[in-house]
Amino acid sequence: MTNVFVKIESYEDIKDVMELSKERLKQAIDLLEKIAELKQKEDAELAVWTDNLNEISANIEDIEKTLKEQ
Amino acid sequence: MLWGIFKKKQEDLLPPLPPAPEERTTIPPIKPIELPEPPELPEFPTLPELPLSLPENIEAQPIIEEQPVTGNIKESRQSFVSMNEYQEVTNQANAIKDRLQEAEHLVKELAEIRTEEEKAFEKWRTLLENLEKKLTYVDTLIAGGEPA
Repeated sequence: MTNVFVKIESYEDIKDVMELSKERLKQAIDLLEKIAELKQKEDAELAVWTDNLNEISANIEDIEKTLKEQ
Repeated sequence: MLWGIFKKKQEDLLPPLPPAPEERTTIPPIKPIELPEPPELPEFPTLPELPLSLPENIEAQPIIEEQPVTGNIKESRQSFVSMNEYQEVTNQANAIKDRLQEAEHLVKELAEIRTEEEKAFEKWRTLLENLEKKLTYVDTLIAGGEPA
């Protein structure tokens, strides 16, 4: 039984392009991880700001109560 | 050395050989065998003629050549991969292409989300500035009040 083979031109070029693609893919994965880290920092910052605004809201209510008591 | 002793013993045991005949025996002549006539074979049926023009919708197929496998085939500039490997590589390449198209779509969606986020952030910053101004004004009023 004979095996059927397909001739591929520029086999070495294809290998080189695959190596470059692997490098680009690794860079893309690294960048995505960095974006995920920045997103986490952003979320943490937003959570701090939500707490700040809640505190400000409570302060305003206190001021209002104090003023109403007068 | 052992073989020499064994050979000598065998020669002692065997009787002497008889003399060879001087006349050679003659081989009888070969008689030709008459075979019966072979039966007549039926004629091949006539096949329908192939169309001269090819059908219009023919998909491009890879050029396939049968080559004997000799040595390390992957070291040359041209290379030959088996049909199964070729199919596998083609499928994988198509899968990667689909993923990349999907990723491109997602990047566009993320860019839209980022634009909305920036707008919301700008609005939020303006509101905070406004709030700060108002509270500063209240602070000024309270600070300016006279004790009773």
